[in-house]
Amino acid sequence: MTPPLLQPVAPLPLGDRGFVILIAFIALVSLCAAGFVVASLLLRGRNNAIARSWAAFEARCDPVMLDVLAGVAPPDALRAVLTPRDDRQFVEYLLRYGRRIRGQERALLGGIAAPHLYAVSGDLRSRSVERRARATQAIGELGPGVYRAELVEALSDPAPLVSMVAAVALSREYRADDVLHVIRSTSRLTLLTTRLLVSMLQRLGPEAAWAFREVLADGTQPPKLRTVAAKVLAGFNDQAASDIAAREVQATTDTDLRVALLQVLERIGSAEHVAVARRLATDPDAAVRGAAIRMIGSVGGESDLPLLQAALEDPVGWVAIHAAEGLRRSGRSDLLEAVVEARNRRSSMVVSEVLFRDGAT
Amino acid sequence: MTGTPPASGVRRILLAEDDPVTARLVVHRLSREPGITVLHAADGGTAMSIVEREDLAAAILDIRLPVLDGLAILTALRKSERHRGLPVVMLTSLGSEADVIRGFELGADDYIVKPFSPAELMARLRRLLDRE
Repeated sequence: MTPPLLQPVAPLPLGDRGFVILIAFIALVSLCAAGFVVASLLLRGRNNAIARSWAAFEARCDPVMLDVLAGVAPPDALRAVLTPRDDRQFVEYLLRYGRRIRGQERALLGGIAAPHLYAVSGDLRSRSVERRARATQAIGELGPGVYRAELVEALSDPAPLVSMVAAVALSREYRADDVLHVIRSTSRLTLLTTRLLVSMLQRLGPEAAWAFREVLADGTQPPKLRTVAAKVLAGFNDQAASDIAAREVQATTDTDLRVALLQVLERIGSAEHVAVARRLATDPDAAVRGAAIRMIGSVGGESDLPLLQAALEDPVGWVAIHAAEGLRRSGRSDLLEAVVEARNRRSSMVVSEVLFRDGAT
Repeated sequence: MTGTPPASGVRRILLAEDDPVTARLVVHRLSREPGITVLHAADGGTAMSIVEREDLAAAILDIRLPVLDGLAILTALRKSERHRGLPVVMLTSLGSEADVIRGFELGADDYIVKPFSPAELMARLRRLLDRE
């Protein structure tokens, strides 16, 4: 006998109460799913509406704006396409151009923006971090001259994001009266890498070197900030920083700062600073030792050759590489060749790497 | 092909730029010059099809482009019989010095760093076109 196609379903092992709970759970899940669908549709509709509004706004402003930027229409021509209600959106619109142009067009854009920036400057006092950051960015991009005081104040904003946006805006232009404040405030930007901070602050230019020297010489400043100052000064080739670096490298214990200070000496130091590096050539910290050997290899003289030769046997490979590079720069490749020939020496591989790199002999 | 105007007197400039705002700025600025038509491509593939199809007087190439980057387009231009001598201006971002060096090695005639002044770009392009 063949079994029936439809087997009777065994009843769920639930009582009446369990069944009600199951139905309620299914209803709740369905309700949530429906809620998500409605929310995503509403969100999509809102985004589409914003996109349409922007497209319409651009279509209205672009022809005139491009003529104004090209110098064939006066800035006043924009008044014909704007209403007072457009001020906030117009500032956002100008920001899109502000990030992409410089020179005469950038100056023109600043002039166009000035009467409209009031629409966002009120947001500098907003309770929302995002709004404060956005307003800081807008006035930093489009009206840094007029709103300089507000930008300096934003450096002390409790939100690091706002502070960072203000610092980026202020670091575009050197101003003697607030440069120290700008530099010191960046110590709050702990999330930013040293490299990023250096790149940002270098834009202040060599005329700000005095402020960086002041930070470098101030032992009460955070080591990361002083490290940044050392790297910026090295980038400026600031000769006056070398004596400060020589003094501070002996006073600090922070590894990154000591390495940065030795890099300053390597780049802009002179023979009189080599004595400091010699003392650090046997430091227990390999990073410091390596930077010291590198400095000696660049600036040292004939009397430093034995020290460099000894460093070829350093237990840390890249310290030995710095020593070998120093010897090669000093024109003493013969000393390196002797190491390579004595194949039993541990350093011979490292030395070969430096000696025969780029076809050098 | 060089910068010599074709019989129609219209010089076609290829602009390979994926950022719509930058493209609008450049197209508007260049199109105002008499005798210049700008052919805009928003990606490297479209730019290459314009290169194959059109007689160009110059090219402005952004380095970072979808599909095919500006350096690859430049390489193709310099290998092509038709566009070997075409004046090329590269658009690069701040801090992309390595790209600039690579561009010159591949035969770029000039470069301009973003953000830039459209008027300055026009002046440099005009100099290259006049040289041709």
